Amino acid sequence: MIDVQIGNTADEAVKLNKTFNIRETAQCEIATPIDIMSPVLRFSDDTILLDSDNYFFIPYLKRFYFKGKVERDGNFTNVSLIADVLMSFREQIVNCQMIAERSSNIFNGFLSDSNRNFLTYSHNTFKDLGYFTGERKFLMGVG
Amino acid sequence: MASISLYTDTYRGKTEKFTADDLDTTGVWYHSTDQTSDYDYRIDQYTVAENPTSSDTETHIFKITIPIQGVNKINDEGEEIIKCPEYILENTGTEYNAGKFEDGMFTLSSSSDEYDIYFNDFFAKGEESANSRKFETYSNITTKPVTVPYKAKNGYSARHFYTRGGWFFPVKHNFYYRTTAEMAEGVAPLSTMQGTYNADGFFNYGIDGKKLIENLAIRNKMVDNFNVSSGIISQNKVGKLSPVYKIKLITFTIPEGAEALKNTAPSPSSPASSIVTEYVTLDRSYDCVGIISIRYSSDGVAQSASITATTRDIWIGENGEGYWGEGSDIDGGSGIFTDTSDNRTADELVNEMNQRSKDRATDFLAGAGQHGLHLYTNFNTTNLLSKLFTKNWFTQFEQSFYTPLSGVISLHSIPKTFVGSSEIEIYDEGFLQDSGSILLSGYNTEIPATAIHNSLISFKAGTIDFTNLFFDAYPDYEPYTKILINLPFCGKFEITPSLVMGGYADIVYNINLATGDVCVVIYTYDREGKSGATYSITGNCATQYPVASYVGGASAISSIVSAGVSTAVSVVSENPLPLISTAKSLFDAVTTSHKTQLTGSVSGSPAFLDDWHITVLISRPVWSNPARYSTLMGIPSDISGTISANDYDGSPYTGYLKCRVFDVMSVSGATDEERAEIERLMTSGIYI
Repeated sequence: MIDVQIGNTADEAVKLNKTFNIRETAQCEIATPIDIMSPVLRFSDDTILLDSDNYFFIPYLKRFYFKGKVERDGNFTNVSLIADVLMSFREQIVNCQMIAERSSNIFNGFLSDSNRNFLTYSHNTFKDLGYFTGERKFLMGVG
Repeated sequence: MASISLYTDTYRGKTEKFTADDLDTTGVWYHSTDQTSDYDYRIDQYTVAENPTSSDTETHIFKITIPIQGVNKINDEGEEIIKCPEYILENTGTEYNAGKFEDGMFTLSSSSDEYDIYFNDFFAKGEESANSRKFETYSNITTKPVTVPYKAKNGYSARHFYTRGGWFFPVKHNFYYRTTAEMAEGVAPLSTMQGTYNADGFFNYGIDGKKLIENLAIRNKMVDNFNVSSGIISQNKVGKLSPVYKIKLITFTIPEGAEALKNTAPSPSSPASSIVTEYVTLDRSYDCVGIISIRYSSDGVAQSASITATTRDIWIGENGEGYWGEGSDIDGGSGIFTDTSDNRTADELVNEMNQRSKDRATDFLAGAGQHGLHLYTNFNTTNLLSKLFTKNWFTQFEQSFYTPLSGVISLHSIPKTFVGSSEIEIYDEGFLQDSGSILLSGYNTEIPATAIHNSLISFKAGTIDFTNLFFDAYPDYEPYTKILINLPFCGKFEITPSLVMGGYADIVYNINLATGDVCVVIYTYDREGKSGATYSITGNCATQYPVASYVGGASAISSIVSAGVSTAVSVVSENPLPLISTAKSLFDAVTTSHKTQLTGSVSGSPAFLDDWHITVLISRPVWSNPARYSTLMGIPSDISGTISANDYDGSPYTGYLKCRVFDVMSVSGATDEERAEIERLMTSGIYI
């Protein structure tokens, strides 16, 4: 039997730092061999699982998980989990070297943005530098 | 062999290969390129990393083998004055007996004890004691701080007091920093930070300490960006070296057993206590070559040393020079060439053209009363033609000996005035000229005119100002923004925005008065102030008029009887000159020996019919601007660093982030599958 924290998060799956609202800590069995990316937890009916429970933390694995498939098996409920690698390793991820391709706040405005759409009409500016007057001057070449 | 770099400028100009004598004590050697800390290694062997050159600006770098007999301090006389492990055994003072060697580390009895660790010195907390004095005495070295090898900016430098000499305390380590000026004034260190050593021999400042180092480093202008990876002061990174600066830290573990230390080299007994030295120079000018890792084997013999990672970057230095070498961005680095720009301006062209025109004036054009080629202006056209097509038979007879009309090469008109910021006369009194009568093939028409000597004129028609960027971003440039210029007599022309954005463009008109040929030269000045003639567009501003060709001589006289002159005149533009109608009527009445035929046509360049204004059209895109675009999709970045601190300004990334490349191997404790998933997510885009 292992401990598992059950709760929910309203953050997107691709959010690095999620807010985990822990509702309760329960005990359950974990299917062996343990698939660390997709473990299956087996809860007895002593543990009440709510539909709003969409997020789990397994201290034994030190990892966070999304709720996947839920299946009843007699008096047990099998919950398949999907690893949230971002949240599980967030403290290391923030210190890994990388080269950003796109960012909300650290960017270079002189890099072309192929994702940006432009309208079919353009903004036009006319500038007049000057003009030749209509007056003409006669010249004659003579050899 | 274990190696570390020493620096000297003593031998600048030396062209022969260095010898052992040179490397001993003859010259002054430093541990850092700023030459403020003496070297502290005995030079036993050496390898010349590069032959010296005669360049005065080069720093000679040599790889020197670190001796394996511990860390020896060499005084100015070249005498060895300390071997730390040996001396530590003599300590019997109570205070320093409060610890023990265990597991390769010397551990204080009280883990709460705090020691200020100086340059091979040890002090009891807060005050000196007999034992600490003994330490100080036998170490016989100064408490001079050791400068990390970096180039300080703005006159600041920070000193990092670190341990050298073999002590490895799993306790607190105080990190001090002071400015150079403050140090000179004896100001006490302003800030401390604490961390702990880990079993691998690294001093871990922790997240807070990491931030402190980074903040103070940036604040003190040590470097433009400063990052301590993972809270560990030194970290061996495999692969491309990022522009991360690490403070040098050398630690030694003390083998178990005090007696064993005597006269022996540090002998780590387990991998966990292996001596590891990692060193990355902070001097980006020449030797930011990566990480030198030195590992000692159990018998104390240096086992391997290598530069584990080097990086090559391409960047433009602050003086406009190009770099392709080891190092990184911003300033510093080994400049390979300097590409300076010889700027040429429109005003230079105008002045040179006009001067050239005057200097060569008499090469081609003759004065009013001289024989040769002439370019006449300021004459009465009607009077001239009346003289040429006179009814006076004597005059006709006289002219028949000169065939005056055959001397006329061209008759044309050009624009007289350009009105821009000021009014410019295309032909003005500034030309070299003189006055006289028009000579046609030697025949003096007695028609007053001005003979121009120099036929070229150059003037700057105007400047288009692009200094204020519309977006101050990529849409200001091609292919997004287009610039179209209408040039009278030449047509419309498109110029490349990157040549002018942030700068401006000068329009220069060069006109050949004799032919009406126009060459417009556009000078562009870019945002860096580089300028030159970028575009040349040709055209013609003259309107040609019929040139009468003489068919005369004996045959002409003989054909007078047949009379009748066929005229072939086609008018292309403008109203016909009086010449044509007059000539026709004259011809009808002519009974002289003259027989003339009008040939040619009134013609002018089609561009003549275009707009006579110099106008510029700047066409810019209008982009769709959905709300929260940058929040949801991000903006192109191409900036390296970590999420917690980017290499550009040290601030953390927030919001949306998509990585081009992510060093997922740094994530320890993750399975391969998890790493793959992390990398997939980071390169697909996440929200922080």
